[in-house]
Amino acid sequence: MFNVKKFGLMALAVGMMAAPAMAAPKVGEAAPDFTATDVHGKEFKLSDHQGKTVVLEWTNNECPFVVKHYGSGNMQALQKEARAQGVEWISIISSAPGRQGHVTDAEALKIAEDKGATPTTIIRDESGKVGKMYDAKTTPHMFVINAEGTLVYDGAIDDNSSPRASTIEGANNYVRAALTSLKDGTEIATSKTQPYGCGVKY
Amino acid sequence: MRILSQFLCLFTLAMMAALPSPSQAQEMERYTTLNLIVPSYDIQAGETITVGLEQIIAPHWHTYWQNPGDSGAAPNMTWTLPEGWNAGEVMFPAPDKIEYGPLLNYGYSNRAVLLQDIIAPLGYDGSPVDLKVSAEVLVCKDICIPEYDDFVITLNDPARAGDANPSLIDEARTTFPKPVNFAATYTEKKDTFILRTSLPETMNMDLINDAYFVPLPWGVVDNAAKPVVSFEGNDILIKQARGEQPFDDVDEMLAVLTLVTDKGKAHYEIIADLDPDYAQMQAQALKEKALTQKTGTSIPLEDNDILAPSLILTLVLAFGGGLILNLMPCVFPILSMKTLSLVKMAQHHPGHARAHGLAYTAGVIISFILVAGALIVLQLGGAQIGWGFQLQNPLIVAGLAYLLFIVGLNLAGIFEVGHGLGNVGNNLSSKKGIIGAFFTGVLATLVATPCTAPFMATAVGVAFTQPAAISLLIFAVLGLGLAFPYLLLSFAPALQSFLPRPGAWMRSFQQFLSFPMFLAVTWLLWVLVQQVGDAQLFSVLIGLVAITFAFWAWPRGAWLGKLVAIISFGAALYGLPVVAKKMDEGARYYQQTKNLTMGEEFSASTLDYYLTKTDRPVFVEMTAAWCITCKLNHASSIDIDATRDVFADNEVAFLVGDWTNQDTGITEYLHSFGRNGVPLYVFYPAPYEDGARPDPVILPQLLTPSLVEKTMTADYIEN
Repeated sequence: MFNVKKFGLMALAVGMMAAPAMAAPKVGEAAPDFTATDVHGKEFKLSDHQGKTVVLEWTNNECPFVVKHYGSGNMQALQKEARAQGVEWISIISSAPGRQGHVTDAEALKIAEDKGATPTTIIRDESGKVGKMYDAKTTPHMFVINAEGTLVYDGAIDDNSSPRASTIEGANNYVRAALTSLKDGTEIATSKTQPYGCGVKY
Repeated sequence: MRILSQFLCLFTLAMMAALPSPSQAQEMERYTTLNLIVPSYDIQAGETITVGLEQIIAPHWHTYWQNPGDSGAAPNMTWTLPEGWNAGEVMFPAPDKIEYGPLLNYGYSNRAVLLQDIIAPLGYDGSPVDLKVSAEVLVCKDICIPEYDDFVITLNDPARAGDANPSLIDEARTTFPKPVNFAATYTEKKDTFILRTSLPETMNMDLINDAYFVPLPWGVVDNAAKPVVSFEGNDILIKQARGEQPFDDVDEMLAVLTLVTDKGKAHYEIIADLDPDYAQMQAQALKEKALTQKTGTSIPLEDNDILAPSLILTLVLAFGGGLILNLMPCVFPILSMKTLSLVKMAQHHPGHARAHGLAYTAGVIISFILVAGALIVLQLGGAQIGWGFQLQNPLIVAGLAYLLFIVGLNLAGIFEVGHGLGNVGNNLSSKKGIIGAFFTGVLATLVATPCTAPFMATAVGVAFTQPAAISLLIFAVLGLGLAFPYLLLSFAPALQSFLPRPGAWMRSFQQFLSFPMFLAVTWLLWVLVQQVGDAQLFSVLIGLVAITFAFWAWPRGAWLGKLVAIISFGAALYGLPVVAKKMDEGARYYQQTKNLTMGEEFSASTLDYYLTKTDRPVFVEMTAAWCITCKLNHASSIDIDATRDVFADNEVAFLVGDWTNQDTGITEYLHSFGRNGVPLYVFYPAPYEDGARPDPVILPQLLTPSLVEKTMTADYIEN
């Protein structure tokens, strides 16, 4: 295969130096592009998915706040709704090895299957590179990226930070609202909120 | 019978003992013990009692403040009260800052008592009343666990009163921040939050060892960032990296300010007001933003000498740039050939020489104005483009490659247009010759656009900050500079005597000039493959062969030759849609940054990270594959051992932005420095003692190793 390296100034990639920690992406600007391997072993590159709305969900299956949303079926229902609209839903596990929520590819798939979760794919980010690129602080921490690749929502899944599942029903689900606004072409009312949950286990 | 019933009795007892009692069934380990502290079990109508939720927290675990910080959640108290009874807001003691990996939380360790008012209605008759509360507390160490406890207190019923502990409530109050009237203002400067608190004159500032603050609204500061504390008289200044919630969304800037003295910590609850100067700064920033949207460039806040050159100076630079452009490999062959034809003409028709000179100049100037005009119109339409934008379009790059190749073939003698560029024929004396000269000027401009020259970049950069009329004037002068040598020769018979006498050598020279052309084509192809990939390169290369074949076939074999030529040329043109198709797929095939020997890819968030979260100096290089000056600078002054050592010694973070294809982020960055093209080199020195950074330094367009080193090792003094 033709190799650009044969020409003059080329050299091997040293460009992948350590990703910066906690560089916050800004709502209204381009969502940081990233490449990662998903639990099926396939490469996932965010910019390849331009043209579709993408939801990034930071998760940790043992965190009580994640359990709140999965135990009640709330997250799965939201995923189903989103996917039916053609949204791509990426669950990301940034737990470092040895810390809570760290799983293998097979375990991650099994957990999703057991819970009836239907993300488009799951990414294990055990180095924390993607998490830090997005300044993901909690599980859950939700990001919504529109079809042009702009970050349009960054924050909590809803407005009630109690770990009790009973508080889900009366709460205002920011992600659902953002996806509806994108579908209807209206402006997103709340684009940045304080995320709640367990700290991401970098 | 009796034995049986006795046996049954014993059996039942035994079974009961064996079965786990309900309270033992679910024994989960607890990390908090929650107790409700009640000051009194007597209450009258309209009275308020303050109850406390005591949290005894396991060692190394922590619970959260009202604003939990980066993660976690504040506790909840859900009361079930009889009609007319009300519970106030939960009140929190002064929190600690608790580090949690890269995150920071606000909360408590060991023990904390939250307080809450319960208010009896005015119509309360004093009968026994049950107050139920469901307490929910999140406790974390490495992992988080929500813990729940339900309490019931019965008031005004001595039979069911528990222990009254008013002293514990009083003691709890001492852990609360004291509400004070200290004058406090907050503002934001360059992504840094600044809180200024004026302590009363009676306070002895010498006793204060340290101070810190914890904001109540979320996203005011970057919780995990290190704050910098300084003292100015009786004012305490605390600076910390800014968080993500806009000031507009913050209703009240409540904070807990803690002063650390030898005697311990003193906590104050302060309300800070937005600095009135901030509103002014905002208005200024909005004005500048409006200007940006109109002209497509931005005027930086600081005095930037890139913008300072007067119009005269800029025009001089533009003229100079145009002159030097004649020496670039793209343009030099065209100029040379025109000069040679001038040589022949001058011998026989001096008047026509002048006419040709004017026509050529007109062609160049008008073409420059058209290209600049197109750029301005596109920018006004909102496109984030700059000079060189035409080369960010692979279709244009491929088209230019074809064009230059055809010119090269002509020079090499594969085909001739009319009587060839270098040949002088009857055309010269006719109008056709003059029109030909005009279009040669257009051609010269077209082949010049991939090249930029020193001085040109500054002039072009200034051009785009000016109103359209001035901008076009600058480009017209640039064109004049390009056309000037030929114009001069055509008008100055004296100079013509310096030109060599025509002869057979002209043919060899013309063929020689085809080589710079082919070199320029090679360079364009190198740019193209980085933009769209090897398959597209392949089709363009085939296209070049097809073009050559077409020109060879045309004059041969009568109509057959012409037919074959047309088909070949068509095949060549087919290569262009293939390139266009790849463009549509939006893929950037080869990342220029994969080939970096040093540095990392630029992005606004990466730059922001280095500037706000680290103390490292930062060097930003904006380059593009088609920018020869960029490549020269990089090879001569950056990618050398001496510079690499300076980078390493000073721990400089090196960011490279690749503008080979369109990149909005890089275009915005260029605009923010009043620039419209590459290269751009910016150095951000390390911060001062107080955490603020000196203004960024913009390096010149032509770098030398010593210049780079001097910039990075200079002392930047605070102003």
